[in-house]
Amino acid sequence: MSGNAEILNELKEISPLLSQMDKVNPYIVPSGYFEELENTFLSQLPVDDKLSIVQDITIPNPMQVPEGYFDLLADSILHRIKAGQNEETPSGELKNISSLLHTIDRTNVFSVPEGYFDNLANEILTKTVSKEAKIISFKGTKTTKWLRYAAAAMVVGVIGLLATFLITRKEQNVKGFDATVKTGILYFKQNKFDEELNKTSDEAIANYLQKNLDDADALQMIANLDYSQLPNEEELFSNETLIDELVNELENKTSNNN
Amino acid sequence: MANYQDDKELLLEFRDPVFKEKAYTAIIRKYQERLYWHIRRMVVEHEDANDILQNVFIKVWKGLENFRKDSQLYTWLYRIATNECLTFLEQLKKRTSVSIDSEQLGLGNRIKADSHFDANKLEWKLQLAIQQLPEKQRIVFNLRYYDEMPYEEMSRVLETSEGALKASYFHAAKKIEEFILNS
Repeated sequence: MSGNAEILNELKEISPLLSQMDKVNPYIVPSGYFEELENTFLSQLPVDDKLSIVQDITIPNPMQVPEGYFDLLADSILHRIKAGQNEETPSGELKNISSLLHTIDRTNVFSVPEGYFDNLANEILTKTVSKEAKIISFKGTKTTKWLRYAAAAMVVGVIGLLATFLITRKEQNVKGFDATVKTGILYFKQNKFDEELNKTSDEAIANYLQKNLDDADALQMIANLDYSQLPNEEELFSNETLIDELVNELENKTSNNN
Repeated sequence: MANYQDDKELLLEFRDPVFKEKAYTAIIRKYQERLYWHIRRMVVEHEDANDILQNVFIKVWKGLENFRKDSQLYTWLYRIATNECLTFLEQLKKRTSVSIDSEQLGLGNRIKADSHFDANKLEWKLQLAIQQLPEKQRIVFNLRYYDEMPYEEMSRVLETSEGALKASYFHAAKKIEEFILNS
């Protein structure tokens, strides 16, 4: 279909009336206007310009092109276009730069541990998503003092863990907690800590953690901890009021956040 | 090949708390291998590549919430991975002191230490040759040669003009060829 027909169809859609009208040019030009136009312009040019243009027209072009240049031009341009297209693909581009590299097999020479990619997402999730998941609401939960101690103690180290186990085992009340912590410290100082801890089964540890980690208060307190500010074990031993200070600080932070 | 969700869709889901974790997991699964190999080729050893890759995704978790250039997730991920690699290599330089040469950094030695290394095989020679390149040239070569990344995208990843990248790739390929022919 010719271009004109397309334009006509387009016009029909826009304006049926216009499309039916004959395209008559209503304007006229003086007789012989176009035939004389070139000479008319030339006669109006300054003398120097007129000369150069006239020379250009009448004298052969002094510049020369290599023999057969125009015969080969089309092929030459096509070749460049194709070469340009090849550059668009990494493979074609490399072939042009280095045919040696182009022929090398791209076999992956490195290996990864078996199942690495299968487990990677879960591994990363434990470092990102699960960290956030611990931050849960504190409002409305009633907590006992020993649990707050437990939460703090859990993060400062295994002493607290042992102490809370002792609490659980002996079902001691809040008042007895300090004594239990002291017992734990004593065990630790006497290098009996591992021995005592080993007496506790994995199942008991799992049950304990499961039970207490579900507590919103403990989790909230753990989430509020600034781990870089925690005292080390030696400081904890030398200053027994540190746990109290830590718990108070955590309580303040927790209540400020709610 | 696995079917992965469109990036725009994944980003939309990520902004929805209900689907956030699901979308994040999907993003990891979609890009983990491509990014891993990009990193691994730069640092050679798996353990380092793994550490860097995990850092990359942890940064993604922290930064993706505010990421709004939906169509450019792929290049954004590559940019983070590349920067992490460069930071790692910088630290490696400091640890091994003085040298800025990758061979002296030990990357060539790392390759030779690979249990599958075979000095007679061309593909291993190629790896050694790549490690001779300056870092930026190495990145450009890897992205083009292995990932077949268009210059336009590479330009966004490395924030360098396409012309400079083409020149960089050209020089890299020539240097590699020379290394292989002379080795």
